[in-house]
Amino acid sequence: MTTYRIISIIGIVLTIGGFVYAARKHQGMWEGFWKWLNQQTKQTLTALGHLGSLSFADTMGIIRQFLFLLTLLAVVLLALTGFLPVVIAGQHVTGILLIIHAITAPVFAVSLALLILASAHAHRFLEEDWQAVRAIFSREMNSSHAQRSQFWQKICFWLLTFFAIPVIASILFSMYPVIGTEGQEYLLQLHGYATLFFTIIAVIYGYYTVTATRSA
Amino acid sequence: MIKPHVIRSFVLGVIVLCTYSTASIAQTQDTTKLGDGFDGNRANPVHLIKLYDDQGDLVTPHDQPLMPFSTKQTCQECHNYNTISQGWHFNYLDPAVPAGRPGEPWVLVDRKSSTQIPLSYRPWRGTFDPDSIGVSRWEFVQNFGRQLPGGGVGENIDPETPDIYMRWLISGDLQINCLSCHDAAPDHDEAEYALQTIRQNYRWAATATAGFASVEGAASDVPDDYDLYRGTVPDDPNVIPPTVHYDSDQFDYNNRVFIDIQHQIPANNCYFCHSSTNLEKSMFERWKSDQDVHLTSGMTCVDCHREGLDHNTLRGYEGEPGRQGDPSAESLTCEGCHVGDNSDDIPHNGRLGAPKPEHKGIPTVHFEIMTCTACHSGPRPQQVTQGVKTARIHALGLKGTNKSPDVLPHVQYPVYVQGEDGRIAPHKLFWPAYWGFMEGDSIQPILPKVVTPIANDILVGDTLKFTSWPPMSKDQLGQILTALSEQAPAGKTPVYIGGGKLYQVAASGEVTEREDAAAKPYSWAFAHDVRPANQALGVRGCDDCHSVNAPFSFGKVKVDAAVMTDRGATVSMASFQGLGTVFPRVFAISFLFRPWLKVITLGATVLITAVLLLYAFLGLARIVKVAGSDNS
Repeated sequence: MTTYRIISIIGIVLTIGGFVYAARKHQGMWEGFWKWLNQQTKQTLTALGHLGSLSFADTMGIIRQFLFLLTLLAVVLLALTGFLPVVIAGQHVTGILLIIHAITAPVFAVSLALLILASAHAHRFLEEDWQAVRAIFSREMNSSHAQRSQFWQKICFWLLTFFAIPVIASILFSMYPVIGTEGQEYLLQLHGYATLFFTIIAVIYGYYTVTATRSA
Repeated sequence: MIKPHVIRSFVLGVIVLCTYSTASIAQTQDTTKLGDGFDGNRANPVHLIKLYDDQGDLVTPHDQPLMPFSTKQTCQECHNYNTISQGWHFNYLDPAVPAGRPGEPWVLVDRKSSTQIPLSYRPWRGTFDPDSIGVSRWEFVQNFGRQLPGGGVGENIDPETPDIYMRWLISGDLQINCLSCHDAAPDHDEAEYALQTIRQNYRWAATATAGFASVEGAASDVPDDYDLYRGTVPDDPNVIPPTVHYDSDQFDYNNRVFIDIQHQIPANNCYFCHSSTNLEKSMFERWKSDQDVHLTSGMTCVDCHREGLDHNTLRGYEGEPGRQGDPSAESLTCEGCHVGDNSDDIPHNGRLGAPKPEHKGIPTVHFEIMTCTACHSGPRPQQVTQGVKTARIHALGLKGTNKSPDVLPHVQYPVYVQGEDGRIAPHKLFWPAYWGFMEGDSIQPILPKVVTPIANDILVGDTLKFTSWPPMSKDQLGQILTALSEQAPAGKTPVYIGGGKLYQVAASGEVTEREDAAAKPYSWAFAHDVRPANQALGVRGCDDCHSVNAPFSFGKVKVDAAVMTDRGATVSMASFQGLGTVFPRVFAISFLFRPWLKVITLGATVLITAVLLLYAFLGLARIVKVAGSDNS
């Protein structure tokens, strides 16, 4: 657990540091993010009441937004209840934090799975993404900032999808009487590290979502 | 006039004599003796030995008067008695010895005064030091010598009054009874040892356990001026002075006798002081209960509870003081033996063929917040705790022991309590009850010899028909407290502790009661009997402990009270586990939805994996298409 705590602290500090750096670089990003989140939440909640009057595409858009917000909320709750006791206090998740963690977990699993299902197509790699890759490696600036943000957003999306599997499956397998003590220990570590990477990537994904929105 | 050089010579002589004597004593105390080393031969040394009495004189079957043999004088011919006397069973008076986790206390029980006080010379939280509450060492040995292995307080009786001094001159010390543990002869009779201590025949007690000797008479019956070396016959013909008889046929031509001393102590010898019996099962239907799985598989107690010449017995729990960093000691705990650390260069786990448990499906957090014994030891928990009697608390194994299940104190188990190491372990528990004088937060217990005469006048006259608490109403309790207030030192208030409450008489004359830390139950962790793995908690799934009515968290612990109106109360097991009362309940309820959680997470995992694979294959298909295209 000590190694995990050290790596987690380094990862979290670097992520927060990067976020602060980015916020300074892009003036008003932080305010923009909250404004965007607030706007999205209001818009989604309002639209959810009128789903019947919307077209199928609009309905799906609203559902995607709803799932995104729900997943975001779940990630925040799970990260707080998971990381705080383990990383800060060096203890297992227990008490009220465990209850919140356990109640939020299935919400997260369902909303994330549906969000991935609904968003995968939009995050498929296209011809312009190849241009963004070439631009990154050749340091050419002929691709727009929005294009590059979208590319990184897609990378983050598929990494999130990849890490979501060990995050959820590690707990799934630990609930069945098929894996012994050492396996349980391994699953717990897998859950911890996968969650750490998932959370860091989710923050980066959020950053590119905001910058892509601002660029657009 | 004495010449100066004579005085100088005399002083020099005294100094030389003292130095020589001190050196001799030190040599006696520290010398490694014939039997202290191990020459490598695993065969058990035959103990065909000469016996010596207290004075170090040889005992022969034709001596007049016949004296009991002294274990100290006899055994220290070949073994360092001083080293042995610092072992765990004997070193409780030494404040420098770490007390370790709280263990089974001695309980000063007096039914007539509704008193049961946990005593220990070790500073275990919740116990009282007998010295500090006025239980003299003479009284302690009188009460508990029956199952003391001798040594310790038995050799430090410290007679305080001339009366006790005179009695002690007759009774002698209760020396370490090496035979209690090491005599494996089938006619070794430890109950006889207990009987001799009750009769104050301390110097005869060890001898009486041997098959080649028998002891009659009682030191407690003879007058203070009885001279045991002259064998003076008392005036009263009904009084039989303590007398030993030896079976002369068992002495050889050289006055040696065979004692079946075993290094590998049989469990039967440990049982005399370390037995416990479930009052609902094994006490009356013994055939329905089983022994500890380790013993059933052929092991003995000392296979794990080992010791060296220092007799510092391994208690065998993780974190035992002084044992950290010693792989041999650490590997003789449950975890050390069955799980161990495979990363060591030399593996120490798996000793004696200990199987390694798989614990499939049990999250590892269980092993950090609970001891192995929580799931594996004692009876499976039931909705209400079960009664248990233990050898030392209830004087089991003695001739004429009261076999009633109601005998005080009412010890319960298994109670799952968070120990001092923060881990939950099964405990035995009883509720202290005593009268005391309170000053501030401090309560000094009043001994039964003070209370009983008062209680006898107020409670029912004949309490002999009761084995449990005598009937006591709050009015009667108030009357006793009022009577005690007349004897109370200035500034001190008489109180009664019992059933988890503190009772006192208010200025209005009314008896008031409140919960108080001093009234908390005393509990101590136990490890035996270990159940078979198939009967462990959790073997049938999470519901064994995580259902809404699982006894592990929600079992009822009986509050044992002397006051009639307070009897029958219970407290939840969860209140002893440091988890609060809400969390265990909510957590248990969450397990009702555990099947749903499994389905949801399984579905989510399958869906996410499918999407990831789908797009991975689509990407692969694109690469295949591009790679195979003729159009460059």
